[in-house]
Amino acid sequence: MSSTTDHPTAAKPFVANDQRMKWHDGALWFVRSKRDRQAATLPEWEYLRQLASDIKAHTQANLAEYLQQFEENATAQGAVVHWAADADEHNAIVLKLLRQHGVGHVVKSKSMLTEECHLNPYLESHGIEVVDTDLGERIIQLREEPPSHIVLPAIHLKKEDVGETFYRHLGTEQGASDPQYLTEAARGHLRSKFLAAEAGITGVNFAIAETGGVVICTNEGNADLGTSLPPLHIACMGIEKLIPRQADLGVFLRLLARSATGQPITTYSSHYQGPKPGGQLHIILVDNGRTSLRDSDTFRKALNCIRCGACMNTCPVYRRSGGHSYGSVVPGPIGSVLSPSSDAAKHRSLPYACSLCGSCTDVCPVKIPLHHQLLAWRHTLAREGLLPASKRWSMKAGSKLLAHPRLFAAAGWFGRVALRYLPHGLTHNRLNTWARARELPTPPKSSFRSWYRRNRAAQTQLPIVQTPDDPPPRTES
Amino acid sequence: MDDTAQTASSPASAGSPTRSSRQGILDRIRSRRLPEAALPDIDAARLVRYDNLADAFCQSAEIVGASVRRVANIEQAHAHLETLDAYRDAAQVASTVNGIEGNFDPASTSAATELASLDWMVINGRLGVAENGAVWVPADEVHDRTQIFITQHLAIVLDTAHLVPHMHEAYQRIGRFRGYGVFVSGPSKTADIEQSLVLGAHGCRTLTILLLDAASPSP
Repeated sequence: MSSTTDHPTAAKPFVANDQRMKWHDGALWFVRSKRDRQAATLPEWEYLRQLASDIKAHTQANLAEYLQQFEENATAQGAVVHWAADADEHNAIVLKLLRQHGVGHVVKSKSMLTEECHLNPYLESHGIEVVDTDLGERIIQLREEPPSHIVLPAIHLKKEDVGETFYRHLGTEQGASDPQYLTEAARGHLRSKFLAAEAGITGVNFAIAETGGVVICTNEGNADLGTSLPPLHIACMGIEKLIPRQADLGVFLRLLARSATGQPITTYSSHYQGPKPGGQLHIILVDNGRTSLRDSDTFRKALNCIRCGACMNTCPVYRRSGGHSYGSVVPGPIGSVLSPSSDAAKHRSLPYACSLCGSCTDVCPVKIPLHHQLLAWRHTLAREGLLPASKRWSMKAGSKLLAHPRLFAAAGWFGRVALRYLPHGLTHNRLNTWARARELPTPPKSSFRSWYRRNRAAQTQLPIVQTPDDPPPRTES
Repeated sequence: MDDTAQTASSPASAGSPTRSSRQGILDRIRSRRLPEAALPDIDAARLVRYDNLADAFCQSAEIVGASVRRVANIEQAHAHLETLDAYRDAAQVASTVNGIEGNFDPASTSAATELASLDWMVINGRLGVAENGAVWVPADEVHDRTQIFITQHLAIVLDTAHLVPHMHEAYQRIGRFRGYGVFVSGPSKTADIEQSLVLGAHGCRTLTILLLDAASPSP
């Protein structure tokens, strides 16, 4: 996506297909409803969210100590721990490990970190076959598309699209679109990839400082097969995945799947402590901007994120604009917070892809104040001079207006008159993008202030700012 | 309020020795001290309780797609498996459960990939969790952890005495363990095509839980 594409422009193709947009909206709202039902089964739900948030705050405050503790314990378990300052270094470490082991075929399970580092194209450019094994990821890999959701990577596609893709790449029957049939075809296809792979690459859901173990959660069993069959397992994780104790897993595993897909827990929660017998386990700890996010009092809590996707499922903008419109690896509210932190100019439209409704903050299992952070980003972007001219001028005009009571009153009067007499064609034309799909309100007869003066002023002690508000009643006839 | 978040300056570039990146990351973290925040302990009194753990477990396990059979002893567990077409017709059955015999010994294989033709795997579960139907299976229940995932059908024998209400108690009971362990909750599944739930993604197609309860009535 080009750096000049803003969110509304990028969303256009998605929004143009009204039927599909409505399907997408409904499908994600269904997931959100399942999340609500699961949350309601636990009287301690809010308590768990608070615990999760507190555990993360504690871990952030003691991150260096916990990282060292993790390294020490993981090493004692027989794993090899690597540190990468950025995406390039991470990719170089992975390639070096694969080369050392003479690996030509890799199976990979879902990892937003490796997406963030663009690991697949890097490895492919060095002649290594990388097969994404999560069904949704495999579908979009065959279609050469990025994921549109962090938990449901192919949620933007209909089963007919998948049928067409599998017909071309896996030789399924033309026109076949039954999910059961297509999943079976993918199972057969990927089984052969699992059996032929010389290494498995995975992400990490949680890393435990006290044990040196990592935990990976999947429904399909793809990470589990991919780390059990080949002798080499490379686990890639951002440094924010750390939690102090094994007991803390109880809190996070109870929250994760319920928030993500409305399941009580994922099918498999695999706990790896050291390599499998005769195998090797390498764990790469990646910074890539996380320490600088940690420096920020405003945005630090975004590091709490456990990548459940609940904020996307509930977001009215995401549901109607699709994940690709965000032009970043992580879409939705959390993506709109994280992406500008890596490139504010490129992603400056994202904090505005938000109505500030706050639903994301309400469902976030680790209590990231998402909509507050999105608002904070708007402050930052304005201060950095990154707003488009249209917004800059209208903001300036707005602040003048709101700072001057007389001007405000005059503008109010003008607005009420204009609303009554302006012809529709003048307000609704292609120059005014705001008026697309919006109607102006019926103007009130008078301002609130004149109403207040007439009806309440006599009974109150509050001072009233005197302004030459509405014109005298005589002009209203 | 600072806003250093917009620049992700990295202390080291590609190809530099990993050792210096380690120091760089740790130094960067230590250069910004954060207010101390206490590590909370969980108040057990605030957690969900179930009147009947076995009932709650069965209900949760069935919601996640497992089929649960309550049996009084291992003979009944075996008899139940024999009633399943997929079990009777299976070419390769392996079992690590005393009292249930397979026809294939996974220990006879020299590589994990030789397990690809495994139809049924019967194993013991160590612990069951009522809130989510998950069963804890540590690697020492099998010869090779691949067996848990590569088999077409998985059956887990679990004692009702080993049920706990929730994950907190599960981890308390598990304590420190060696190597690998996994919670299995239902058969492998996916909803990646139009949110349609399909059982049998990459792991087992079906999960049968045989819940041993000495007090359970004979079928």
